[in-house]
Amino acid sequence: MNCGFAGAVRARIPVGNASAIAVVRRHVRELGREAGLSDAAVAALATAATEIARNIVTHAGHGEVLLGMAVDGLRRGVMIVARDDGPGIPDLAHAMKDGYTTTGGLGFGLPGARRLVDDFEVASSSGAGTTVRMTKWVSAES
Amino acid sequence: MSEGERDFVERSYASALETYLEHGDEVTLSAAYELGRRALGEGRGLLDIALMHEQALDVLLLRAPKADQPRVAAGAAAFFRELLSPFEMTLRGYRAANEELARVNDTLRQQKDAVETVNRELESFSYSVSHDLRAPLRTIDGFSMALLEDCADKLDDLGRKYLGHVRDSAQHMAHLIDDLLSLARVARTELHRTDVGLTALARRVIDRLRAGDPQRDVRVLIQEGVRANGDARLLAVVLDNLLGNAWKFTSKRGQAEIEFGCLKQGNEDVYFVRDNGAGFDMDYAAKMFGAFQRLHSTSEFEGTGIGLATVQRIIHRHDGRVWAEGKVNGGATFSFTLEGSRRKP
Repeated sequence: MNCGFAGAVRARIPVGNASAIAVVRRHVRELGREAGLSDAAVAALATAATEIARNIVTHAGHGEVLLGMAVDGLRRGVMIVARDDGPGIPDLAHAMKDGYTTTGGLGFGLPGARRLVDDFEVASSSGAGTTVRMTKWVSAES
Repeated sequence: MSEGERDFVERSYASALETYLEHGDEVTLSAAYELGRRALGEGRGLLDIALMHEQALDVLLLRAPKADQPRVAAGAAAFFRELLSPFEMTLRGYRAANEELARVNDTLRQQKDAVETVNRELESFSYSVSHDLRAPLRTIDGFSMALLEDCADKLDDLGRKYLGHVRDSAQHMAHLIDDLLSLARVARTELHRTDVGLTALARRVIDRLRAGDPQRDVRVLIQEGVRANGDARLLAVVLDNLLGNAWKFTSKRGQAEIEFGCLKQGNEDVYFVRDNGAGFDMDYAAKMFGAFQRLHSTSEFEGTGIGLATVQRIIHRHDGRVWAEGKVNGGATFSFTLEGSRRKP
């Protein structure tokens, strides 16, 4: 299964600790540049990927991040799928709401990532893990 | 967060930047992102971290050989961008929260408008009902009086006594209706603020109370020169009620004392009416400003229970606050302000 990627899955990165986050970021940057995303768009996508990967490490312990190209009609972009077999999110609506976190700011985690990309989907249920799919399209606003 | 932890970003930024310039890989670049997150946690502002970056870069550029300086500058720029990424994310969060807040505010305003409309309708309903109740009441009282006067010979003592009760009740109800009407009127009339001499107003109220109750010996202390910016007619109603209450609730005191004055509390003028009368239980201090709320039975102290509701409404219309302090059998103090303290400089 290629999760809706256009073409092959370009990278499959096991995420089990903080050092894997850097690997995810490096692949996001490479693929973003290759797809023709602007520097600002690449930075935004890398930030979103960092938050999602951090989520896996913090909440699920381990999971994986898949990267690939996305095509929709004439649009091209980069798609990221992050999934884990962790405890899942019992209340998705609540998880998508911003809260003041220990980080001292609004908009981290899932809601923060959502605002940095063009398309964002999350599927989760208690006990069945979480899957996040997000896409950044070329020439869309960063 | 302890003081030491607060400076974490400040202390580690320069060395993290140096490490990145040395290695130039994603792992050392990630440090910038994590430091950006920490900086948010430390409550640092953007200008603050920009300055921190500048200072760290100055040192590194001074140390770098001339030929290496462009590489250092470009690397530092990438590192700084990464440091800013979490700020960008949180800014988007605040923007979204702000939009949500504006939406909620809008809904609240609409609901407030709806509540005010309903209140106005209720107000005018109670006004017209009260008004219409007066006529049949006058008939009851009038014919009871006619019975007593014109048919007295046909009634025995018990009959006359019963008719007396009918008249008392009718008159009590008439008072109630008058009070309700004045409560409704407070909400309906416009506020005309002028400079009002409260000392003179208070004297007039006390003179009237003395005239109506000449056998009572009440020591009254009215502070000289108390003035306020407010609606003269409505403030007269306030003093009428508060001094009238003080007069009423000191009726069982051997030496009754009533005081009116004004205190300065911070920037605020706090007006007060104090007495040494029956007082009240502080547990009911907030409740007694509701219409028809009475802490004493009518047999003990007569009244309709609308006076303080009227007072509160007048004070609120002046953007002021009103509160009561007291103790059972230890007297009561009613205090009020006339302009929201927020308006004061």
